[in-house]
Amino acid sequence: MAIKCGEIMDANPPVLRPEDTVLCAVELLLERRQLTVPVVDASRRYIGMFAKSGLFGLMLPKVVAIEEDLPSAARISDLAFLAEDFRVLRDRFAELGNRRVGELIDASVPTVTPDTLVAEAVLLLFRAVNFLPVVEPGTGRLAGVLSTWDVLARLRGTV
Amino acid sequence: MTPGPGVGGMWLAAALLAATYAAVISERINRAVVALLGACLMISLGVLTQEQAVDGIDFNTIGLLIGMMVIVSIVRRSGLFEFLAIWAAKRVAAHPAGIMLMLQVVTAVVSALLDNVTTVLLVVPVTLVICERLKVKPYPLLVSQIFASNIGGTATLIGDPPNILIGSMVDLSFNDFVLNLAPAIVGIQIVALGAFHLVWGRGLSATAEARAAVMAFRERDAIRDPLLLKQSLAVLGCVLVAFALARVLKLEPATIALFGAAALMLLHCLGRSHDEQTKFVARSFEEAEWITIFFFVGLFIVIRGVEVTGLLGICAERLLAATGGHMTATAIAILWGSAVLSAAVDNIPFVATMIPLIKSMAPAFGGPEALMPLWWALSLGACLGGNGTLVGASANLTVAGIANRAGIRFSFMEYLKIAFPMMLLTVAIAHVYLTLRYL
Repeated sequence: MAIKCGEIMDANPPVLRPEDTVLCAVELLLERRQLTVPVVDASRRYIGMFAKSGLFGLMLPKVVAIEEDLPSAARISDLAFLAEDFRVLRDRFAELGNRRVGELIDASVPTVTPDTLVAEAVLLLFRAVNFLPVVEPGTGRLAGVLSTWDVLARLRGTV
Repeated sequence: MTPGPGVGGMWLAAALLAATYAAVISERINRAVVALLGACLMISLGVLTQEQAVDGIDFNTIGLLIGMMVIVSIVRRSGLFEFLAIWAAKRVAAHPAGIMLMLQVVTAVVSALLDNVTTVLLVVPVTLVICERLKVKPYPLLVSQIFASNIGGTATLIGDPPNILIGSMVDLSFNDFVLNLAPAIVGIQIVALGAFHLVWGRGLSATAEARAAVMAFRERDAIRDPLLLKQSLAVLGCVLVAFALARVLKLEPATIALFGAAALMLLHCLGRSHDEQTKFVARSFEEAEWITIFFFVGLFIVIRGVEVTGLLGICAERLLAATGGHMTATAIAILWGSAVLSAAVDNIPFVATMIPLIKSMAPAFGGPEALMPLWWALSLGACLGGNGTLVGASANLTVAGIANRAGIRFSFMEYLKIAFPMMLLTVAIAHVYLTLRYL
């Protein structure tokens, strides 16, 4: 049984535009209980994902936010020494609120097409991504989003 | 195919050495790959037999490097270096100029005991966190730390790869380096502290609020594993004492470093499950810099090829002829020549080539004992020269790499404008030191 992503994806997911504010994006994350939301342009062409990792990255010291690019010896594994209270994080979050979603786009999230087999998409979901943007190969338009929950729901339905 | 020694073999070896140098300098191919290819060609084309090639590898250098790398990979997990950096920043009430001075001192001292790249990998991230909280541009602190790492590393046998090479291949002890180089390095570092303060430090400032944020840092919370910290400090202390007593103990530095690495792994493994032990030991070995190790292995073989064919002996005769066979002129030529060349190219292949070349000058100067000033000139020139450009030493490129990823621009020319004159100043001090003490 060859089920494709296009058959089980959410074809009408919430999306953001690059000019939306970060505060608006956070409202959406809270409302939908999602960790990532796709960002599209006016003609619904997929640009990248707005993700909580980009948001938290700006609230932490920069050297921590870029740690994936650093040699392991240069990574600070614990920030307990900063001794910062929640107020500091809240102040930093308030500074971010009016910035634009376009500044925080993560374009490195892998994408699939409507014709990608779900079995193939599961490997990407296994590698710590919860939402996969489903992009039409010719136009680059966002066809939908495939989530871990879409796959689980289908699996439960087929057992 | 056996050209062997003789004119044909000599030119072939020279061509392979030149090609290896050119490929390393171009940085288009990883230097370990280049050195290994050069080594394999030396054997395949008949310049060296495999036995001669293996004999050319200085296993004392390789063992010392691996041993210290494993020890450092374990020590750093304790959080000791974050602790030291934060502690130092708070001792000067988080004033940016004071922090710049203190972090240079911490970097220089740590760099004397560990290799330079590791030192900056450990100190730079905390520096960036501190600068971010102080809202101070990190560039001046990072440049001053590059200098401190290269200067501090010159003080000891284990501080910088050129010294490891010289110590091992010439059989100089840890104490020889400390007694002959540390006094010069203390003076040079003090001058560098003053120069960086005048150029940048006195212009740095931070608000009272930002300084209070840094003063609120809890350095004790940076210690992630107190037991590991105690074990690490105990082993590191024993290793340093053993280096100092190496002649009495009749132990080579490689044995001491590998003994320390094995002892530290043993202490950590005691009472842990087989799986935990495997994971810990595998991680400790993984974090050794294998690119550096294999670069050394390949390079030793390439140099041995050149040495066996007699080319280095001819170069030594030419150098002696150019300096009129005078010790002073030879030492000063080596000091400044090494400094300028090390600023432009990787100093490891240069030093590895110079060692057999200088050794072959022994008869002209009355025996190996008379060569001591030349070894110190080579070490000071090669290590200090690395500060001159962004590509002069691995630590420079490491700092620039981290800085660029953190959005701090590190351009070749901008660095050169400050660093090259500063490097010349430090080498001039070394010149005076060598002249007053040995020449």
